[in-house]
Amino acid sequence: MAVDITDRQFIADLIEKERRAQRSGGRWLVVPILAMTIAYLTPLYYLFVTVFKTSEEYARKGVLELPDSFAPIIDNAVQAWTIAHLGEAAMNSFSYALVGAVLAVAFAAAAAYGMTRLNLLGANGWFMLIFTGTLFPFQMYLVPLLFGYQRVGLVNTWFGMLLVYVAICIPFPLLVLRNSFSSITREVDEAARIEGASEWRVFISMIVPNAVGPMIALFLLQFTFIWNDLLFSSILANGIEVRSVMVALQSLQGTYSALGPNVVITATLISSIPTVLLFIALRKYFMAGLQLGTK
Amino acid sequence: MSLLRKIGAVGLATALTVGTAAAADLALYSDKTPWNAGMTGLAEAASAASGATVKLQEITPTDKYQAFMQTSIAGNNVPAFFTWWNGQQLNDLVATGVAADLTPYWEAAIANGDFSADQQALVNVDGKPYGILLNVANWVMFYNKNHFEKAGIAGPPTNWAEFVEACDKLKAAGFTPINGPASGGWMPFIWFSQLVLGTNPDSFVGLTDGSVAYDSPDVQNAFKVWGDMYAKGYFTNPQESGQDDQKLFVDGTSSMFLVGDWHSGSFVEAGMKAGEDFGTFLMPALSPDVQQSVIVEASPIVVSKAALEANPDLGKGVQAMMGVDAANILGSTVQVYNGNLKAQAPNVIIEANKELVANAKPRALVRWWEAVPSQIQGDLVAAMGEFMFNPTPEQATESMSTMQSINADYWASK
Amino acid sequence: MIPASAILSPEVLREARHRERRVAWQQTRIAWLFIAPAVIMVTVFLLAPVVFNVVLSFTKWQKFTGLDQFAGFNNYARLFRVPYFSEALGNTAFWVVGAVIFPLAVGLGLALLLRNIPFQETFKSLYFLPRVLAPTAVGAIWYYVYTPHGVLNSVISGVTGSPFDFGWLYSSDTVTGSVIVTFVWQTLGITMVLLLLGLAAIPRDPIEAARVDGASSGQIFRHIIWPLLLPTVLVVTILNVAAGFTTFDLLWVMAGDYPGKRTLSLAVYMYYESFSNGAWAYGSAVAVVLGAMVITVSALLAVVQSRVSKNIR
Repeated sequence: MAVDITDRQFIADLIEKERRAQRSGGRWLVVPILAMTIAYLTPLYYLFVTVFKTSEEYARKGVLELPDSFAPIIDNAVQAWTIAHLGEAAMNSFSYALVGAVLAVAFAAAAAYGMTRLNLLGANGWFMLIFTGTLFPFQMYLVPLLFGYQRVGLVNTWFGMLLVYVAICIPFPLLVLRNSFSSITREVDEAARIEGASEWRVFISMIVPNAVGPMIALFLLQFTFIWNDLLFSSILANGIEVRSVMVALQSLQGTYSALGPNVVITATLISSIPTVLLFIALRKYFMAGLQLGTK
Repeated sequence: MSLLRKIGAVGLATALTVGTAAAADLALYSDKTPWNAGMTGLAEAASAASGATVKLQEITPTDKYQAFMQTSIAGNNVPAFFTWWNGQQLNDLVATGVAADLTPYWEAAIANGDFSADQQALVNVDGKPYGILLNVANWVMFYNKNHFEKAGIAGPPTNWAEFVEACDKLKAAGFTPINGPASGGWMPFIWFSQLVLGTNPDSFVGLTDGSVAYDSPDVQNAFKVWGDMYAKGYFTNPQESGQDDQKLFVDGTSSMFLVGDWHSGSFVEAGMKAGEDFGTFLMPALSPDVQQSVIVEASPIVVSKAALEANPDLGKGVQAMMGVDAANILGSTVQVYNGNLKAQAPNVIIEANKELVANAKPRALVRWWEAVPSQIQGDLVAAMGEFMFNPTPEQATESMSTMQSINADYWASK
Repeated sequence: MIPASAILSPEVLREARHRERRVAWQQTRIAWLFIAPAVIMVTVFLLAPVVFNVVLSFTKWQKFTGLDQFAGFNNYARLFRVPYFSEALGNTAFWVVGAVIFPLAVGLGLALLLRNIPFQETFKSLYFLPRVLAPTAVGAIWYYVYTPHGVLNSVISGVTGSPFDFGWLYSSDTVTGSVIVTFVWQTLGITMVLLLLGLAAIPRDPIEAARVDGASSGQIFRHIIWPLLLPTVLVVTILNVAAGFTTFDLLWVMAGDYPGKRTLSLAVYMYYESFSNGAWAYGSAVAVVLGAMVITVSALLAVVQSRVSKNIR
């Protein structure tokens, strides 16, 4: 079939025809996609009906039935809050995640600066050393960390827990910031240096402002990682005063199942609020962070 | 650099405060969450007597607690006080040299009539005591008196045939006869050990010292009876109880629960009346020719040798924990009996069990959990648990061969 | 004016080189201060533990004894002597394959479908929702989906009209598959978003041209879309392979009551042996094996990835 592709009218018709075909095909596609989406959302629907049920109501009704009123969520939340010390645990996790992610990104940024903007001898070697920290599965850290922490008395302390989170969260931001710092032109800091600015000034007022976007995205990723952590806290800091919110949530599920699923499910909702809010508020940076994660 | 320096200074300051705060407080570690009120009372008594601050720290479940203590000992950072188990578990612990020899305190307690020498033997290793008694319990069958009445059962069964008859009657009346939870990383051993010692108490003892195999005829018989009981619907489904061991007993689903009598307090807590709603009997052996036996459980609180040497005043805390007031605190708050001869029995059930044992004069046996080598404890319990979730003859064979391979591997390496 | 010979005299050159080296050395010393926190943290809290872990795996350390006793390769020999390791290994393989194939297949199908329908953004956000929840929270919710009187069984009884109370998380036949379904539920959204980004980057022209030449949709997908999408597919694969090897939270939370839980994956087996069973040295050996496998597979995938991106350029 000979077609003259320089004929603009022909091409335009073709594109229009295809669009129409897509749109009509699209209408039919909505049905299976809708069905699948409903199935997909059932667990979340279950979450939302369950938090409004009392234990008695939960036992009496079908699991997917609607609750009688909205009121029981308060009692469920109070029970989760008091029995599992969820509030205390949430405060712990919040401080770990906030301080940990800030320090990790700050240390990574400083290191990235030292490796890319300064004449560091063996910069690549230093980078590889830190990068090695992303290669091993967490399971290889656990036993030695617990043993070492026992020996120096850091086990079950807020500070000890924080140190591990900071260390774990350094290598990945370093990898990303090393790329973004080296893409900033050399003239920026050379000019500042000629004017007599110290390296610290150059770092803080020239380089960091040029990489705020990636740094916020990295902070969000590391904050979420620390908030979500169960593994490290369950081993290194599971005392009531220092344990993370995920450990508290898990203890609620394990030890007190007599409470009924409504309380446990309410606790899962409470424990998810901060990361969900952050996600909604900073969606742009979050999506950017996801793409960081794939590069 | 000033910011970095500031961060460094703040970090160092925090580390120092955290470090010193941890040093000032002494800990009493426990995995027994339901007894927290009583344990707090003990910690307060020890604080008041010694002048140090002793705080309760809990870690659950049991398997995680053990792991935590083992690393504490390996890391040379032993808590001042911690709950432990007697038997083989205590032997292993004392061998590490971290536990304080409590001979002077026991001598004083025996002299003033708080405890007897027989009781000291419960926490002895090579003739020396290494624990403060926290709990001395008999293992008995709890039964729901209302269920028994409704099912038309005259009284507690006194032999195996009567026991089976009672189960059938309960079943016919719409109850699940026995509560059979598999939670906490230890409960599966309850019916395994009951049925082995009901078959032959000597085999039960032999299992724990390597002289009897986990696939020997007596164990095979125990698994066969266990499987038959599941087939007849005597047990609750362990899936239903999840991590809450007493749920299906206190909510009226099931009628009997074989467990240590330290559990009576939490039944009362859940709304059952001791003596009215529930009573106890000694679990009969599988045949009349087999000697009646009873499992006696004793949990000690162990004292760190290093902590006691560093702060001799802690000895006054040890004395306080062994005193009659401490025993009454345990009894009144959580209905746990630590064996103190001057203390009141915490409830009618524990009093009644003492009489049951005094009348029947059964052979007293150390619990399987305390008697078995700690290195293979967890693996063996897991194999028993697998059978409870899948009580078929095939799984019984598989569980027995798994247990025996672990057991043989352990004793071969000795 | 200074003559060129004076500037380039050996003394001046040497002096310049010295100065340069001094400056470089000075800068390096400043740079040390900048990299020091990161280097120290990573070395002390990540790299030293890995080394110590390898050392531990050659000792007899368990429960109360053996920290200073050398065991040679005994712990590694034991891996193959007890039945659990091979079961855990098999389940891990199942996990790795399942965690890669299912999100990719379903995510790709959804991405291709969603491309052409109205409200694309809404659907995308809905599918992304579970990803924002913590794995522990997701595990707690799905635990109640799978319990005997849970959501799944109540839907099944509703559809079939007869009561159904199968314990999905208590049977060795269904437990791994059930938890993988939960994993897919949580990862599908992000996989799909990444694939949609990849699809959006594919130029329209070759597709139009092929369609004009009468190529079928299948042919277009196989010969044009798939090769151009391959880099994205590989990125998703690398992410999910790592997750498949090391998923712990979901398994531990959902299958905590399953009596054979230690065999659910190598990550769980390592945790169980070390922290429930007190077999520290043996647990360390399991961790070393797991680490070796993760690193090998990741390295292989990285090689494939660099080949593919070279071919595309």
